[in-house]
Amino acid sequence: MTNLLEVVDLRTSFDTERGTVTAVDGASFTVAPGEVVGIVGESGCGKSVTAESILQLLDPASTTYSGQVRFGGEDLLTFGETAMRRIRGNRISMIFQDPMSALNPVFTIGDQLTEAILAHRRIGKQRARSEATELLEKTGIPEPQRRMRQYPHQLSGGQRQRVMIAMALSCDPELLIADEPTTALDVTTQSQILKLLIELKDEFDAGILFITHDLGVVAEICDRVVVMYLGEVVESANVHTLFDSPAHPYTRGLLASTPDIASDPSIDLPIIPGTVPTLHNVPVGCRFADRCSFVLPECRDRPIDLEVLSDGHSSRCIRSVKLFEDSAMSDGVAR
Amino acid sequence: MNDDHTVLEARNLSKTFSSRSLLGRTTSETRAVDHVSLSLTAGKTYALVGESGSGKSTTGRLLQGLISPSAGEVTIRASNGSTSVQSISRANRDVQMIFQDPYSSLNPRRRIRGILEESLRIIGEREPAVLRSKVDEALAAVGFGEEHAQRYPHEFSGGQRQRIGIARALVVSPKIIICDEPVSALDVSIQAQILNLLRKLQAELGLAYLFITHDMTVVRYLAHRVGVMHRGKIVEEADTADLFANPQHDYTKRLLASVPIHHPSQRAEAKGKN
Repeated sequence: MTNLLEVVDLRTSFDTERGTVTAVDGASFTVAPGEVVGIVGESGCGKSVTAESILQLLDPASTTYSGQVRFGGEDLLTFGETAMRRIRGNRISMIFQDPMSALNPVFTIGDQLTEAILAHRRIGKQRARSEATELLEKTGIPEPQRRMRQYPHQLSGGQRQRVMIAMALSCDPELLIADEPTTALDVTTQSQILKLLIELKDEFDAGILFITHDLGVVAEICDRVVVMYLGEVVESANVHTLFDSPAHPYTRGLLASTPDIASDPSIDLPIIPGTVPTLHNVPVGCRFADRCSFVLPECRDRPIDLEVLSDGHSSRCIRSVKLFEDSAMSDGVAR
Repeated sequence: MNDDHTVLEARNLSKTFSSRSLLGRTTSETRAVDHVSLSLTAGKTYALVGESGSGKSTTGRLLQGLISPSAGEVTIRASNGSTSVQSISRANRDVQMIFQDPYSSLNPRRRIRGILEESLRIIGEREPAVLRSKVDEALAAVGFGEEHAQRYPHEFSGGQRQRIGIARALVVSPKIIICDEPVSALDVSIQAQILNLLRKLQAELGLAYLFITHDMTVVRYLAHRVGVMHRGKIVEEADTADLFANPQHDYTKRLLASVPIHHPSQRAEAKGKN
């Protein structure tokens, strides 16, 4: 299968008052049509910056990109602002965590959806309006005719996110980037929105790049997963491989410290000690070394390369192969 | 559950918010909390779960006396007799709160020691030696030392700030701590640290927790008893294991079916449930 999106060695740096920080440091991954790829990690790991770099949404005055973002045979990083505008919302759409701030409060849902359609396609206003209503219906909003005449504040959070999804799909995009789209929603609404995204992905045959901090959400909908830590990809794998045999100590720690309904509540949760360092003082060697239970002196000597363990599975850890084999260590995280 | 270890009892609590037009006429009334009764036990955690707008945070604020109920009453049982929560100074001492957002709940202009001393001054403690030793003790309980006491909130990470929030609650030796979504703003790897700390403190100090959350996995891990709130009412209350094994109310069932799976192999099964 040809890839829809190929991100190669992406580096995104910001100029700050305290010097240059590299928020994404050499990320590479791909998304195929019909595939859901998750980028998972904690705050500051660079997952959102990666998503925003693909569409060049960051402040051009202080941001420097390098590497390649290959999409449809071209490198988006060579595109200027005008060319990018034809990509954004058209061939690649994005939905965000907070639908309220992404919608204009003084226009009706119908006006905003119709405008989004008209901005990208040459069709009449009437036709755009009826397509907008159809899209609302597709995203499972009850009484779409009435909703078209309502304002964002008259809708619940879940309905607003459905409107955003309708808007993102209005131009039949090839790739949908979803940045924590369910984080602000209640769990019951979250599970409905996730289901909706999967249904629509199959219908539109789009690829989805799903940014999240929630491993439960990853388990629900992702086909492949890229785990990031402090700007680097530390592991990438098929979703089943990642949950069955995580190779990087950070991935193991994340999986172990997530409470599970089925786990024994009388036992303390395994933890990852310490906190994520800031981008202003990135360690020379392995960036996770200070929090790692398996650390060796040589981990801190020089940057660690991403090592391929098996087809489609790689990990940035000099001990991955050993950890991978020695299942006795699988629960060796600190308590 | 009206035994000797009950430390707080809420009976038939209701809270109605009304919105008024410019001329002061009541235009609409919202019953945020509707005849809620619950009791908290020393050394145990009562989890209040439900979606946003279900009234769980309002209930927490009523229990602490931050807002007063439209009807019903809250009684706090102390060794020297019961008091109604309307006596605010009593409530300040016995019931403390930990908030969701550790960034906005700490005064950025004060050092950690000053923030904790403030809590003690509110309940009438003035003696410098006592202030010092109580603050030191509270900080030690959450794993901090003297070097942390002199710093400002911005020098700490989110998880560390939540520890400070916990220390601030502990410093007045409360019986009850109301935890309003205390880990939902934190990173996954930090959440486990805070949850373990809360459990350890409960075991050591015999604290009663009211844990307000929407996260059922956290409930399973921390709570002894659960009240499920929906549209201002507690629609189901049960011991944690029973609630998960045998949910009765439709809303509880829906809530449990929506919990994200823990492993991709559960996908087909999860779909069957819906």
